[in-house]
Amino acid sequence: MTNRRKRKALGLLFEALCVLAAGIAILVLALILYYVFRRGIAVVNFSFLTSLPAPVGVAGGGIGNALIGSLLMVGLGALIAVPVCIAAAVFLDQNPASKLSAFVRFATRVLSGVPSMVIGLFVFGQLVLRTGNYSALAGGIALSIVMAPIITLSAEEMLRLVPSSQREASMALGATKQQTVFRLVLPGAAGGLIVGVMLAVALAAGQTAPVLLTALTSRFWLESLQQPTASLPVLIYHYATSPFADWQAHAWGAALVLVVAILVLNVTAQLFLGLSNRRR
Amino acid sequence: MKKQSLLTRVLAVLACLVTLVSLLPAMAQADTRPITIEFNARELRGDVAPQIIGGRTMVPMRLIFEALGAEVTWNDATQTVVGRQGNVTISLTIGNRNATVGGRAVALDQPAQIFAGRTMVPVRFIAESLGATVEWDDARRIVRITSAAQSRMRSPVTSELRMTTGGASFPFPLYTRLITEYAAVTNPRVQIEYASVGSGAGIRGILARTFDFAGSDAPMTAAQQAQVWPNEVLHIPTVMGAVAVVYNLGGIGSGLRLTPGALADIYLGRVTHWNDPSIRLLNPTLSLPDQRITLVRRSDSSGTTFIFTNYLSKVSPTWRTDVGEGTTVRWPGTTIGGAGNAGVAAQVSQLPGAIGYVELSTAVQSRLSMAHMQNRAGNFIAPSVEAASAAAIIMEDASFMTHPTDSIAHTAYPIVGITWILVYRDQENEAKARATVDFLRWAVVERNLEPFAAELHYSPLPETGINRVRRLLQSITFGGQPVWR
Repeated sequence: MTNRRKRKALGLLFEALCVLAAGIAILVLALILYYVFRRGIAVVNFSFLTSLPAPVGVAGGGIGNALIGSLLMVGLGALIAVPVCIAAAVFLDQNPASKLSAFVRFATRVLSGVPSMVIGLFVFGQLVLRTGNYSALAGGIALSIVMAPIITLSAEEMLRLVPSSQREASMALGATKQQTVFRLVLPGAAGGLIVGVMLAVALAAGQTAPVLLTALTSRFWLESLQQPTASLPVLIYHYATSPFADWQAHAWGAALVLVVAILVLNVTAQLFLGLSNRRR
Repeated sequence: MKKQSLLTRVLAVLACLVTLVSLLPAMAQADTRPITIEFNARELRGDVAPQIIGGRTMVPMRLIFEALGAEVTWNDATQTVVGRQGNVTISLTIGNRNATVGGRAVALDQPAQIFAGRTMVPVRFIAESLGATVEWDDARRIVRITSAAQSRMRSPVTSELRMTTGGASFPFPLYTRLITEYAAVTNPRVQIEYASVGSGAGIRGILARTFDFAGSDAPMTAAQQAQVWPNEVLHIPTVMGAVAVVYNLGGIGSGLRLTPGALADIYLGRVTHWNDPSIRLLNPTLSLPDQRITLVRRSDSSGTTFIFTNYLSKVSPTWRTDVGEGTTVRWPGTTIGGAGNAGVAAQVSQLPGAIGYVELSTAVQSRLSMAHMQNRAGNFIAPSVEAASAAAIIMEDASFMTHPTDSIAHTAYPIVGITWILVYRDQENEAKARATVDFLRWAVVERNLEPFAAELHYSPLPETGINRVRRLLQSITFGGQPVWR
């Protein structure tokens, strides 16, 4: 009897602790959102989103080129990473036990643990130093490496969720391996794959180090992929550490835009996941 | 007869030749090659080609007026053309040699006239009346018109150019301002990117040639210079700035007096409390608290640290032998690090009893209390734009290659640094070479940076420094030829 009561009390205690921990995690997020909104909302308007940054002491100015630069580089990164990583995930799914699969899985996990600064340095050394120029292209490549492990690992998980009974049914009906992958496995896991990509994009959008080392920054409009390119995290980094009140205000504004964009991506990803789960 | 006929024939041939030769200039005058009109280096083309009539180049009226941004009206009854640009009005009547410009009568060689259904007007008269300059290139038959606005522009390069530069964060706010202004006064436009990545990264960037030029608060070492031999990286000084000693002592505002010795002792960890007799003696009117001194320093590789430690090395033999100067040093006392000037400012403002060093604009913007430092002449000086300028009036180093710390000038603040732009002496790209030289000439030699510098708490170079910059820029070459024109 006492034993049962003790167990019940212990259970309640742990439940309370868990709720508390969850509450703290949510509180931190809420505080960040509240703080960024309060400090940033004052400067965000249409002209802030569409104009070039202004120098110190000049009124106005915005983050237009950084917004475009970030969108472009993240898009470029996704364009490079998504096909390669999904293909890798299909390989892992089709050959789950092969030696190569084990190696690919290991390499991907290691890559996911590599600090983004090191990825930036790698692209800087291999591309920027060799071509002698910072560029949006280098930035996109660096971000694709940042995204790669997340997309690969999540895609593999999502593909594995497609029931083997369905695959066997497909094979039994005489479909080839190729047909099974393209007509059954990939469409079945589409929702989950998109979620993984979105989360990777959201993560890449907030990266400073790989972009700073490869795309540098720019105070002008983007004209080609071969030029130094502005991005939101680098702009925030520069403005937030400056001693000028107007730049600091712009850093808050840019932070708000970035946080909202990432939040929207995450929420959309969650909705997608919910939708695809319900369909199944 | 036969002999005579030979002579006649020779004479006839000669006569023909003479006539031909005498006709040549006349033929040259009747040059029928088309005439080109160039406006601000772009060709102007109308539906009727320009014509030379009576030695004057005539063009369709709308073409020239509209290129110059003038409004044109045509009065059919009086056969009069009126062009209006700003407050200048030009009126011409078809077939009438008398025109008016802003109400004054002007006599024309050639009146406005109808040609191929278009009203043709004398191009030079119209352009010059509206403030443009006109040149005639006889060999290529080009009329070159440069508008008043364009002639105020700088054209170091022939097509739009972008340059990638970066380095020191100390002059970053000033450089971004200059770069924006410079892009607005160049046509074709020169756009310069300057990334605030720190002096060390700036030097690495110029060595790796990822930067077209770099900013640095620390001069390159001999070993770094050796890497580019036989080329050379020139150090072009742009502005100077004071490094303020800031502190957080509750009610005590700016004006705490410090001697070089006291400052060195504080950072050496020998003076550990604010009410130490050595500080109290300097500030008899202040009630200094019995509080531990917290030393704040830069955690990153920093030009500001270089200026600060360069100063301490000059004033304290112990500092020179035990610590030395550098963008990073082994601090002898217990210190707290802050990243960037803003990081140090944040630490100092949050920690009661803290002392730190930041560049003047950060100290002013962060509203920190600043110490008055005793200079070599014995005066206690507050950090300011003027007191930093004074430090360079008597430069012991005429090459402007070292920081003017511990100046002997009476009104000088003693902790002052120069910031440099690093440029290769022998350039690899002609357009970039021209743009670099023109930008630095515009900013430093022609003193266009000075209004912005004062606003952002930087001090402009003295006359001697500007002369030094001119000589340095004149020594920059492309393909063995100087770039400066």
